[in-house]
Amino acid sequence: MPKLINRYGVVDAKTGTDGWIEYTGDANAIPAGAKVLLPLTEFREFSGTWQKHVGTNGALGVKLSPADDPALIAHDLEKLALIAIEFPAFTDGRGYSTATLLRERYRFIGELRAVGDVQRDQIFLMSRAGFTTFALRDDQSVEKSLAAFNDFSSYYQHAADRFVDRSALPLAA
Amino acid sequence: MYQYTAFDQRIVDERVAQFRDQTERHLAGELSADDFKVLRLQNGLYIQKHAPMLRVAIPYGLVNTKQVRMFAHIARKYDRDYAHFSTRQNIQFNWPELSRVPDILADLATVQMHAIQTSGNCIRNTTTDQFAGVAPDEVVNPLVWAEIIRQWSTIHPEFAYLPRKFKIAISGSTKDRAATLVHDIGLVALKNDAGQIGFRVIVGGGLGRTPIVGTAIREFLPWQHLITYLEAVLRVYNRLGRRDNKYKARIKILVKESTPAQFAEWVEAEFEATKNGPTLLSQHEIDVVSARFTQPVYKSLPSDDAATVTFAASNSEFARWQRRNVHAHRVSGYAAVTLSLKRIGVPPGDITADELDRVAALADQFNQGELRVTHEQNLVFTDVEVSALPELWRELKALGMATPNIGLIGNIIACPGGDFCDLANAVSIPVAAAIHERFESLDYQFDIGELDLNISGCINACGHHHVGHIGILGVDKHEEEWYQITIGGAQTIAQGGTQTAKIGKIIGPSFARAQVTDVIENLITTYLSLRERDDERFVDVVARTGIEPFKERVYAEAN
Repeated sequence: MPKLINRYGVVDAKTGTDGWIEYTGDANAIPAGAKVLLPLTEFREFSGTWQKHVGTNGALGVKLSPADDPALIAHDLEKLALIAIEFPAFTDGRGYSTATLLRERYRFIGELRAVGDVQRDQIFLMSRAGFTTFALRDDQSVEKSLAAFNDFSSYYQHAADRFVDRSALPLAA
Repeated sequence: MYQYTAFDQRIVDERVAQFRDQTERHLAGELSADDFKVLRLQNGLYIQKHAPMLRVAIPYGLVNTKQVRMFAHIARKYDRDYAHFSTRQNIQFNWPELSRVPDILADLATVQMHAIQTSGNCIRNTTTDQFAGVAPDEVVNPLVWAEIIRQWSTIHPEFAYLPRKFKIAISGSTKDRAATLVHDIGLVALKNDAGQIGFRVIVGGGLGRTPIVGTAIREFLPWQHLITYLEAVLRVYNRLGRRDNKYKARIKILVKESTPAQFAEWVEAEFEATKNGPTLLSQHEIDVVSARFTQPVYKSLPSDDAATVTFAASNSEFARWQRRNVHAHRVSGYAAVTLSLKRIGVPPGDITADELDRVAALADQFNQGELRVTHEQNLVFTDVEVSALPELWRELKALGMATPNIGLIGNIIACPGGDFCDLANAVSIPVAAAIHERFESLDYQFDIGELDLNISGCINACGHHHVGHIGILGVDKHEEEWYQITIGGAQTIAQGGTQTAKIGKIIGPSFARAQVTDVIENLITTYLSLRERDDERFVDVVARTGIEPFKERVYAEAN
């Protein structure tokens, strides 16, 4: 499992898991009341079924590929506790625009997670684009990745992080 | 010249610290060569044939003498006593050691300079007219706008990993000296009938493998919306630009494949959704940035200086220099002067550390401590008193920078080519040198008249060969160096009421290196035999006759 951090530390340090289960085609692997992360197509087709399955104790999340248009879930954001955006390679910068649109245009206020090729050297920019959690690539040092949030103390542009309520982020264990 | 605030300085200093950490992690084996490559490129560092090459930004070509002296210092301390001015208003050092690059960047930061985003798939250094602020045909001074774009584009979180590199050029004059039609985004600052400032927005121009003249998608964008609109263009490109093929990843391919009308529609939809948001510019922001610019101080002077006029009448060499290298100024009694870095035996744009120091001293003496770098790889003093021209000319002559070849065949634009660059198929500099020598006679150059000759060592077109009146492109044929010739290109040419650019036409099969100089001479003699008036330029004749007479002559001679 990749280490998951937010700007305050390791999110899943105590339990070793953040509780989310990724659905990869086997519905039996997802217990009722779970927190389940769905691919975009699955969510769009069966969100009602999944909502019933996870109930009020569980939660739904969606995982977007770089080419996925966030407009497709713009009206479903209140159903989602987590949106994960995939970076198949860190040089594929589409996820930054996806995150910006989700925060700025569609006003998603839940957890926005970078997954895939997530390295220390992109965390500052990802954070500014509105990401709040980061599933680090296996070889990445947690300590150095946490330092990345402070690479720059100031910046020139407006960015989507102004829609992130940092006080709502869980503090590290 | 823009003066950093503590805020600007901190960002540059923190960037140096960030890159130092990245370099150290790479050297310690914690950051792979592949991952580090992307990061170092965004800090201007290439690993080339012989050594790394560091490209330092000269934002919109404006530089002061303290900074020029720093270039000299860097050339001496970290390099081989020289540097190279590129075709994008940057300066390049060809021999630094990787482990010392963070120190170079730290030295640069002490004089408000950096190498941020001078390479990589991000928004590059914004370029402009070398006569910005002083050109008589200027409608809007683009410098403040260029600085606003510099700040906005610096470490922009959304646009650091674009499909491909992204270049913005801005012009504010009737004549486009910034090549706005062959950039990813070209901006032409202008005024509407009510006197308000706005921008014509041109997208999808570019050279390289697929040369395309850009399309205007907005005729007048009110200045308040400049950044919002740029973000709209960049967002559409970042999301929809091709990432499957490096050669089809520039915005021009997206614009072409989707059609300019469709692309414009996407941009307008994005703009509609974001306009009047936080990226809306206010007069206050413009005023704050404007106030950080030092302004040249002008005396009240007569337009002509009697002694200079007399000197020109008695010294034809000076008169020639004045004709080619001295340019009109909007302020009476002042002139702009181009220092030619196109010298026999010296690669175009190259300059030694000692010469940099000498140029700095002259800029202090004659030009209020500032100078400009041009995309033609020359230097410009923008505020010289007309009465000082004879003295400046003597000094420049002693330095070898008074060759009156600006706009002539001697002013060859060339990329570093195969002698230095990993990408090149063929050498550029020796080809430029051979042509320069063949046309060494200034009488001959003046007789030929205005002619842009541009050389690129490969299809990436850093020498902008497509828009040369004569363009030379190095191609690889069975691992031998061959050269393809185009004619009739133009960076800017009047068409109707506006300016456009023209892509040159290939005259036929390519030539061996040994043939190139003769081919160029044949093109020139063909032109001279065809021209109907002395002021009919080479490019005008090609436009009138087409390429056929040139082609016939060249291939008849070559076979």
